[in-house]
Amino acid sequence: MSSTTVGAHGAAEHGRGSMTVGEFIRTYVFSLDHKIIGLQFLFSTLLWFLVGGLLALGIRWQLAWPWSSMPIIGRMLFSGEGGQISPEFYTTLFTMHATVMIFFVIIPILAGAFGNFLIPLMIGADDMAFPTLNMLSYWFMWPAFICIGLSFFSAPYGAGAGWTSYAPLSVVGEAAPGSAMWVGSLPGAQTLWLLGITFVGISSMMGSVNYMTTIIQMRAPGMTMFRLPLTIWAMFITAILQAFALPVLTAAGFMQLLDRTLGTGFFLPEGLVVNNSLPATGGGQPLLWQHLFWFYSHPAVYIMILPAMGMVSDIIACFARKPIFGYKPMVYSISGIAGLGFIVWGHHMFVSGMNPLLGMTFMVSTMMIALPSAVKVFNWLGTVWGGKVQFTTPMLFALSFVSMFIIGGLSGIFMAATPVDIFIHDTYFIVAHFHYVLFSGTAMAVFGAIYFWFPKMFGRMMNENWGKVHFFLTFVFLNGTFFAMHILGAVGFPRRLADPYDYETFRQLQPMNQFITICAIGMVSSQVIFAANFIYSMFYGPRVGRNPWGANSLEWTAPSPPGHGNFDFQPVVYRGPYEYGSPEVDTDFYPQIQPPPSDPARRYKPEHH
Amino acid sequence: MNDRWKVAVASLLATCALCAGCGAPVAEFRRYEMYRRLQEKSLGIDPETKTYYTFDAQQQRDVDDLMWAMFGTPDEPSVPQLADADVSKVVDLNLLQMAAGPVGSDETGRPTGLYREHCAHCHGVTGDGNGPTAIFLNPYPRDYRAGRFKFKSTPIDTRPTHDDLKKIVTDGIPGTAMPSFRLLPEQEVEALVHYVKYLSLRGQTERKLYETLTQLEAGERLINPAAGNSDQGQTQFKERLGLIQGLASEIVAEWIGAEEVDTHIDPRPKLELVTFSLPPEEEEKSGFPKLKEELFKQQAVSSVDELRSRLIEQLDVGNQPAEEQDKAIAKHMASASRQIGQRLYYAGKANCFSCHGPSALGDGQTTDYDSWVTEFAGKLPKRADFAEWVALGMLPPRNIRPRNLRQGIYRGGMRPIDLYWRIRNGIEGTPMPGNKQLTSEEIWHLVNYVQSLPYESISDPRMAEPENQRERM
Amino acid sequence: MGRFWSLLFLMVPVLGVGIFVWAIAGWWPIQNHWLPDNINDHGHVIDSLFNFILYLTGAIFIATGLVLFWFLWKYDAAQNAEPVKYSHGSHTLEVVWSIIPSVTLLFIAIYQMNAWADAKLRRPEISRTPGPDGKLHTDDDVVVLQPPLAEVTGRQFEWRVRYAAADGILGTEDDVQITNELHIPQGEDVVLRIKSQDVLHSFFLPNLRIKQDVVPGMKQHVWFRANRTGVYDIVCAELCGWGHYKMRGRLTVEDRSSFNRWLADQHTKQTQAEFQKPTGGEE
Repeated sequence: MSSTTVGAHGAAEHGRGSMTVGEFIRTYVFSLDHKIIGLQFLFSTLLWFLVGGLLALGIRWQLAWPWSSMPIIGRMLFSGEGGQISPEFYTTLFTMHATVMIFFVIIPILAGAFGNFLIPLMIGADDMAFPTLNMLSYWFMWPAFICIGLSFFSAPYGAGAGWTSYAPLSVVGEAAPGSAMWVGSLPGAQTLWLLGITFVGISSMMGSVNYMTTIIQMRAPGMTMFRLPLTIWAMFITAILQAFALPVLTAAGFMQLLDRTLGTGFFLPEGLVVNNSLPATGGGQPLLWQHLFWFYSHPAVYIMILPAMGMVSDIIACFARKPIFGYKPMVYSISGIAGLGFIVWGHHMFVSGMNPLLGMTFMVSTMMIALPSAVKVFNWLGTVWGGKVQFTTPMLFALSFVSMFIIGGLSGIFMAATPVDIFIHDTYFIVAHFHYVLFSGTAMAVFGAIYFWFPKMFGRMMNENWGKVHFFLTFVFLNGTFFAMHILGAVGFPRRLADPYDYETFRQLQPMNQFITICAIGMVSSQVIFAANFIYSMFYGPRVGRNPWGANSLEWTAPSPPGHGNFDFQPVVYRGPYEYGSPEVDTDFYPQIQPPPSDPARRYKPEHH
Repeated sequence: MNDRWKVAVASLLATCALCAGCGAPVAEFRRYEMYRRLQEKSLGIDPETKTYYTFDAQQQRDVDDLMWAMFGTPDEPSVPQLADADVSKVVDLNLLQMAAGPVGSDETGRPTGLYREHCAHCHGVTGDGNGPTAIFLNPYPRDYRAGRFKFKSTPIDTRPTHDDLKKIVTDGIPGTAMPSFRLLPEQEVEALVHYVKYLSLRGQTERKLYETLTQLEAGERLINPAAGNSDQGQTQFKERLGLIQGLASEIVAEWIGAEEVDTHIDPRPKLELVTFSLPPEEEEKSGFPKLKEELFKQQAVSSVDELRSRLIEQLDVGNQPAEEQDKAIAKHMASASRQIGQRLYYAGKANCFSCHGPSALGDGQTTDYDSWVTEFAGKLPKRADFAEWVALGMLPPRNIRPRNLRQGIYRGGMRPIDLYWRIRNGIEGTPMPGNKQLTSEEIWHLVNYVQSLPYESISDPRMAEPENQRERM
Repeated sequence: MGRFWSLLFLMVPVLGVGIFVWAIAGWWPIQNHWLPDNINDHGHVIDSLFNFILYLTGAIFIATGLVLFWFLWKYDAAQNAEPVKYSHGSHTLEVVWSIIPSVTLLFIAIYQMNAWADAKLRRPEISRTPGPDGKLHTDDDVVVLQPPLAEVTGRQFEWRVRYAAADGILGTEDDVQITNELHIPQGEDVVLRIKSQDVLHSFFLPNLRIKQDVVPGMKQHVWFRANRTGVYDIVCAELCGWGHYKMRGRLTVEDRSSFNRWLADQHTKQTQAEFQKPTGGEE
């Protein structure tokens, strides 16, 4: 679609009440409009967020009060045993918690929801480069939802080989309950899981092609690459990461599917003896799966943080009323993280049986990847320095991202140190690390982004006071939940154990686990406030104009919410998006589309430091 | 906020409160539906309805009530007080309480719920081998309710001893999903064993009650406490009660009797030439007469000294010290013992190869089922026969395969005496028969042969090692 | 309000450090909530590295946390009347805070290579003699590696331990085989061969700082020297199925003579070829 389409029709032209069914479906269900698609992603992922959160509470319950009757689940599924869950159900809980959170929440909400919604708006385009492909990328998530949803009904209520799905546990049907080939008339849970992941992969690959093309090709006049907001840079680099890394996972998933269904032996060595089962075809290597899996899944974790970093940069600059500190270093850092991200995957495999010499090389590259992240943190601090900080809800979430990411990033250094990793691998130290970066980091950034861009999406503001209550409770409870896990990890408390208290080494850790569980329950409950605020504000929040926050980037010049075609004028860009507090104008913000002052004396000449 | 939203929030909170559950569900014993059905089928077909006679609901409730009265619930177990048999010799109520109930600990800090913590998810709360995990296991966990156990020191149709069960709990069953509980404190292992026996007693009693129902008229109650008002009712009640207690006593007596069964094994004679010099009356017990005969024949000698010199010559150890000579001879004797064992494996008296296969891979015959299946589905069941039993709680039957003897995995234990018991007693519930014809010596030769199989060159463990194994450092 | 939020962010470094100090000091109620006892002579380096990184990252954590707090406090729009510092960055600062972390991180990485090599690459040797080139510590040396004391095989869901018996060869008929119990002589270099029979497991000895995934199709070795007697846990540290939590083993470290006695005792039990029913006692 040409980017010079002017005269977009606003939402008002459609009218609310007088559509035929066909029109409704074309407008809101199978829409080609990137904003609707973005919202579709947003609603789906927020619902899955709830599912993933409840699964986490199941895990926490079992760790706090092992073998006691689990609320709701106990009565529904295990009433014969007095509500006590079975051990294989626990493996399902943590497998599906991670799977849902990673593939159905974090990745789609960053790329699918925010990427979709923001990219054309921020670069001044009227839609994505390939609107139909965009729509397909959302609808390809639905087969994945169905596959994973069905897997909950395939005994024992889901796949149980971990989200990492290591072979041979995931491949040999008799090794794990979820790995059985067929259960009644349903394919085994692990098969459904693999199919689900394949669909997610296809959806993401479609999206990434779209984002890359759109950002490269459809920028408004004057929008050079180095005038892009960091959100867009992040989305762009993330899309490249997805395009290069995902095919490896999809191929690996396919190989595992073949191993399970057709008896190939990519990942199975000869001579496996699993009790009474017949020997499996051999000639393969379990480590091959790990290499292929982590080759994707390590860049995946950067896919899960870079867009959040980008959005946080925009929010902090906006509410510090000051330019981002070190824009180009920020861009290079994002690229550096992405580039280095491809050569660190082995740090998940230090004790896996991989050649120990590789442990040394991966240690160096993993240590180095801490550098660009550190640079970014310093630059955020630099952005706050000397500003006029407005403590709005989005700003609070963005600041907490910085504060929490410091913890998550620093704990990563322990793991990068290979000898130390010998001890902390597969313990709660790792769990603490990734929950800090993923929840206290990305999810907090996502909340902040929702509060920030909600007015643009729905034309109404979310309630600020309830937003702050939500922030405060979430912040306190998440730290209570995840910080203590570092301590557990230092004791060597292992992951994925349904009942760790039989071990002498870990017997005394139950009270701390109970503390964590109580905080986790508080944390999940606090999200009710967010949900209520979100739903209420969507219909009854106070209406706002185009730029309620006084921000600079292009999306704030379009109507709230924007109609088809986004802009009711042709945007032309004169500067970068971070000109807050500029001496060229009297206001404390300086939109990208605003022409410079005609009087040359007022023009600002930047000095280079 | 308008009223709509207040209502919405209020109902949301109310739902949360409800969902949190009003207390935990209580575990209950499951009925032995399969056995009930088996007994109903034994009554034959009702000509009017053209289906099998069924026990009526009241009879069913009588059974349930009697079970509850005698054995209690999973949270609060009890044992029947029987005049003719001392149940406390089989099951200790104190230890039962440690094993029963939900997982936790009582006021004194003593653990409770051991069975549910360690066993129930496979073996089921009722001990029916059908817990939530059971369907995913191969082989399935044991169903205790028939009182049949595979790996014990007592013969078929006898109960296991307490120590037999304790060994299984302590060592686990290699090659299956039954783990070793060696690391649990001794008292907890004891509590679990007692609870297993309790569940077994309970299951067996339930079976007997269903069998008793087949003796009743249609509509006749198994036991009627309310009828105790009239004299006749009281007599009948007492009679019935006595009958039932008698049945339970029989079951308990079997368990007590198992401890008295003679399971002793005379010490295996050593593979040394000196045993050949024993006087004839001791030879049977402490020597290897058959081996002696073999070697004498092989070497064409008729005295121990001749045999010794002949062997020394043959093994070329003439100029070695006496110790080395003895070792070499012992090795030769061991090899000869294994040869005898091998012949027995393939020949009439033991005939192992017919099931275990000519290469001892367990592929001699693979179409049979174990007795936990054949009891219900018939001796030679077909696929179609299983459906009705699976609907009543049987796990989808699988063929029972003879052991692959070249793997070195021995489910009942790897000690020589374990293998001796398997061969002598058979394995209850499976097609592995006991063998009374083999002499003690022959069994030892067989045991030696079987124990050597995994180390023969054709089952070379290194050949069974994964092909692309990489040795690291 | 801004003051409140700044203080909230101040709580992060304060409480964060506080909890770590509390755990390390072992004050009530969180006693025994830190690194477990290390009884491996070679394990101390791991603990020192852990502590070194802890202090380094701790310092950075405190510094950045305090800076964040300070900036939020000082530049709160509600309290701060000055105009914003309209700066796009500082090239000098960028260089400084790129170089210092890189150097630090590289240093940490290289500093640890020896510890890693000791733990995973340098199996104890019995003897090393120069090869044809006449020089020691070259590739053609004739090396006799220390043979394994025992072979530990992980399977669902137990550790099968196997010792060579009198014949000294692992893998023969008379090996002592036992489940979930591993005995080790104290004060000697011990090498264990570890493998898996079915799926991935991981051989984790918390008190020895040993962890190695056991991979079906691969034989690997771990080595250590235990310097204290006692009973310790063996933990499985790689998801292996529903019974992953059940794979508890018991490591007993005892002096050499007790170890030999135990091994002989096990061998006797294992070769038991007679049975008398115990009269009123335990078997």
